[in-house]
Amino acid sequence: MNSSEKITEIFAAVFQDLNDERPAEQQLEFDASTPLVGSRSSLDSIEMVTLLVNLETSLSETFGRPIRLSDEKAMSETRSPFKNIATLVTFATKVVETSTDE
Amino acid sequence: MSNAVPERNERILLITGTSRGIGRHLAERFLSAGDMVIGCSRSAATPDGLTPESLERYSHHCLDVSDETAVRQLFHEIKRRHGRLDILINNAGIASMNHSLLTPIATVRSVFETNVIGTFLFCQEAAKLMLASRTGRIINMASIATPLKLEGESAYAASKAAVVSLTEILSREFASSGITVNAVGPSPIATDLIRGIPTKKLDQLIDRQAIKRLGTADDVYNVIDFFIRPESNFVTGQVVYLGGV
Repeated sequence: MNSSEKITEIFAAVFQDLNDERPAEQQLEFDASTPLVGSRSSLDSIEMVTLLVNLETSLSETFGRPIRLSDEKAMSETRSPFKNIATLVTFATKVVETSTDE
Repeated sequence: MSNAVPERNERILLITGTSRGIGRHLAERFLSAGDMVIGCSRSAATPDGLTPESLERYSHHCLDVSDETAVRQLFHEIKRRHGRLDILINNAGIASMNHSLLTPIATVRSVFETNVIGTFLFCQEAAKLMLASRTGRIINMASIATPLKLEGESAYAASKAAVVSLTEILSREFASSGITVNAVGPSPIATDLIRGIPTKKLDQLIDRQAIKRLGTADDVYNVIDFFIRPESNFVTGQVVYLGGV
């Protein structure tokens, strides 16, 4: 399993935790094109923060070092890496592959 | 999943600035009560006067609270070793007592780095850990220097005003996650922090309090003990100043 597949698997588990907190009629599909931010997203701001933090925590646990997704660069990028599930997986993979033990 | 802060004896606390003064006293009090305490300071130090049994529940980390990399590593270690954090006490702080016209900018930066950036960073990382258990208590350290608008303490008072603002806003941001954020504002307490204040000035300062005496570290502990009780889950965004300021 390569990094991207592993991160997708971790993200799916984190996403399931989010769905567990939502009512049955508001379940979200874990699909590459599922929007995370913007007017088409069904997530409120607190859910998005929680999702990112939980993903950071799971990635840190899995890879054994602190992984941070919400850095200055990510926040200022014109094309948000948080746009949908596919862009976030791509971004998280890049962060994990370029991170080192601090 | 529990969403109440554990009872005494089962709590995991992180206290910053435990090498001396109030932080050291707080660490000793919580360890004596049977809690697990993680302390940190820039120097290596362990609270004294404790039984070997209590010391088994204490771990110390040497770091600068404004060092983002070191702080993140500390929280990574807490998560790995304990799996959770129940209570954070942001006690570490530095003071600067000088007329604003005679205060070097390097001193202002240093005061803000420790008192504001350090507090922000620890709140941020602690809340991430607390999110998972949907509960937590964060206590920040304010100061009566802010409401009393103390001349000669512009940098310190401004940094503590920022801590009050952080406390109030973070309490709202974290409320839906079951995390409360409150602050205690000590009056002058006989610690190293006020060592440089002339006796006359100290007397004038105490005279502005409703209750005219020096505070004690136990006065601070008492307020924190209230904030962290499981029953205090409806108390957030509050700043309690000691001495009736």
